Amino acid sequence: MLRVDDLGVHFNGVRALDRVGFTLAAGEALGLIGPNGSGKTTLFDAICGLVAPDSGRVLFDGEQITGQSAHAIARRGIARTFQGVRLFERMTALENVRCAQPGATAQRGEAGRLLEQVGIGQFGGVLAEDLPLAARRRLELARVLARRPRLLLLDEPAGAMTQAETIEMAQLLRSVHTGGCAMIVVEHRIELVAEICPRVLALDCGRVVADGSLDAVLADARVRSAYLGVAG
Amino acid sequence: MDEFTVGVLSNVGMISFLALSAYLLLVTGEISFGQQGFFAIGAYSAGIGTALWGWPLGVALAWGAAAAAGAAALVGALTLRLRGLYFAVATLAFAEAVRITFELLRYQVEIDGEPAGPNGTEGFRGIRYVLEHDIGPMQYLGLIYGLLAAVLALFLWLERARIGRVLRMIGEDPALAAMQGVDVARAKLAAATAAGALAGLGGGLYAHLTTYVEPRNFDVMLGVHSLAYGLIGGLGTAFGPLLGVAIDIGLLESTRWFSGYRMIVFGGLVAVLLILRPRGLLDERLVQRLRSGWPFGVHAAR
Repeated sequence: MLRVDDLGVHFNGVRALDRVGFTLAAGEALGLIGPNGSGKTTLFDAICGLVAPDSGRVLFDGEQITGQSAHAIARRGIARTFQGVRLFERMTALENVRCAQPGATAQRGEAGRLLEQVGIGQFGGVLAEDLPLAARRRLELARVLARRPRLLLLDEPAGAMTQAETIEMAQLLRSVHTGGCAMIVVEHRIELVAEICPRVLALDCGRVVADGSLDAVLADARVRSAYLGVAG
Repeated sequence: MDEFTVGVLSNVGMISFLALSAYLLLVTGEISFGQQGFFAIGAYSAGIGTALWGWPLGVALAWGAAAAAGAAALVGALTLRLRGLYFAVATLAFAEAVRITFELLRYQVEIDGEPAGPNGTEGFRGIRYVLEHDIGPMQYLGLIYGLLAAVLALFLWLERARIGRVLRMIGEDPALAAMQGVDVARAKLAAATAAGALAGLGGGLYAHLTTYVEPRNFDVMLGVHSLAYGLIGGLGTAFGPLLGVAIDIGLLESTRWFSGYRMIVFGGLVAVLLILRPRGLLDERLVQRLRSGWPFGVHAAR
């Protein structure tokens, strides 16, 4: 479904991504781990068309999407969330979801059901800027689900959440994945990654340093050194 | 209704088109200091239509709006890639270029033994369609407010339709809007074109009410005011800029309470509101509360 070949991104001489390559099958869930600054969010930006790569390519369903505009890529069925939750703050929760519904036939009822599905049905008429953090994360998830995506890119979906909220979010994501949606999950909380993703990719300094099962990746010496600060 | 009141209401109605024009761009996150340029194009084009070419008023007004829309599409295609201050300055430069062009424009035709048409800095006299067709002040007022009501109905429909949400999405976060599948550049160009058409329609109405226009009618202060109406009245609904016009023209300009101090009061009002209510009196929060039946609506605190 998704193929990333030798992707390279530079910012003012700093190498953010260096020949990153991997594939993702339809319906697969992939965890993406790495220390801060390792290139996880830049990888999402490059896939989504928010950042133009200097080299390499991204293929979705066999077609090259590198260089396409963000809206064209979104229309192909790729949706994402952001590390710092990004919502349309001056719109209600319901309007935020309706904004994401594709086409002119967007249904208000369906938007309400999505809010119910993520557990914030009671906040439909509340401005996004007035929502508590956990509800904002859930609203962002409802919004990307409204796109009816085939590939979800989730950037720290449980960031700044409590333990209980993280468990609920993991259950939500698992149910979304069970529905057949492929996803890449950036997350520092290994327990959430373990809950959803059988396969994990580790980045460090813009390079892929490990790719495999969670146990295998965490046991990798380079990952332990870079990500966990453990030598050898 | 006395003549003075009809005159004030006519002014409020005509300037409302310009205010809605600037508001449409503000909603998409763009600040234009140049909508008076499209107002001028509409005024001159529609005036030429009736006075020189003998067109019916309706056709001339549509022509004025179309000419302004065409100019807006052209300017938009060239400038909408610019962001923030750069876009604002570009629109201001365009409007000044339009004004100076009309200072140079001479296109006169002899009608009834007298020259008529644009005559550079002397202005454009003889736009007499309304007088010649015995359209009374009240009838013309009805035309202005009939058209304004139609435009307002369109805005209110837009606010609830997907296209209205698209414009607000772009105004809040263009990159996030693109992630929802929105072609941001195309939507902005469409909004700029529609805003040009609105300003042009207002200009055509203005020219036929005053029967005389000159380039200095369309200076930068007109643009600043049109922008300020949305900022004062509020960006949460199309009623916002209309409220701004009503406050400025209906209250400050037309009453004697602020005689001689209008610009000081108006400027102060803009400054105070930008600090206390940066999105204007009828901002998104108040509009949402009103829609949800406030004060009885349920609201959560962060």
